[in-house]
Amino acid sequence: MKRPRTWRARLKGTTDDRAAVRLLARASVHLGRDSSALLLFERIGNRSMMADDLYLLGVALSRTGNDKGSTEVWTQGLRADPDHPQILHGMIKVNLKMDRFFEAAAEARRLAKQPAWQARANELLGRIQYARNDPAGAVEFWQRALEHESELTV
Amino acid sequence: MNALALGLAATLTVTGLWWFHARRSADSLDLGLMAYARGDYETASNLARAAQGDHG
Repeated sequence: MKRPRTWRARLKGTTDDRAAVRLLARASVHLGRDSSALLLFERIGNRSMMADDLYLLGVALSRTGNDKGSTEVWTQGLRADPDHPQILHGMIKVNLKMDRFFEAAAEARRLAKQPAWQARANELLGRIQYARNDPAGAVEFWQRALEHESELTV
Repeated sequence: MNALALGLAATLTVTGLWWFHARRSADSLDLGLMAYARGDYETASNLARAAQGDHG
């Protein structure tokens, strides 16, 4: 049976047991079992957390009402992988919500460099421009987003 | 002589059981990773538990 090497490499820690804990933690977030996931990520330990782990930990923290903790781990995740698309996407939304347009726009421009995320990045850039009272600029970005419409449905 | 044979048999049994357990855990983990990759998180979760030997 062929092994999924990419996923295995990304999920594998120093031991198979840690890889199993990592897998369980990640799956738990997707299943909405946030409190279990938080305990499991704690077992993995901060030093062994990968950017994907930090993204999912941030999701679990946010859903359990800890928005500050979520932002902190996403910031940590971007230090580990500055182009992590899901973290960038999450951080843009957080910064937009907090009216931190400069940071949101910088992250959105970085996200837009990734082909699979161009549509979502442009949609968010449009929202940022709209919030900056620039409806014409917003429309321009939304038109660009529509050019990559098929990505939005993925 | 009997003691030596018994010792050898015990060592082989323990090694065999350890190997079987390790192999089964590795298989569960691989299958769990595949389930995760295809978005089947419930199966991935169950297989991750099996890979841990339910220590988690």
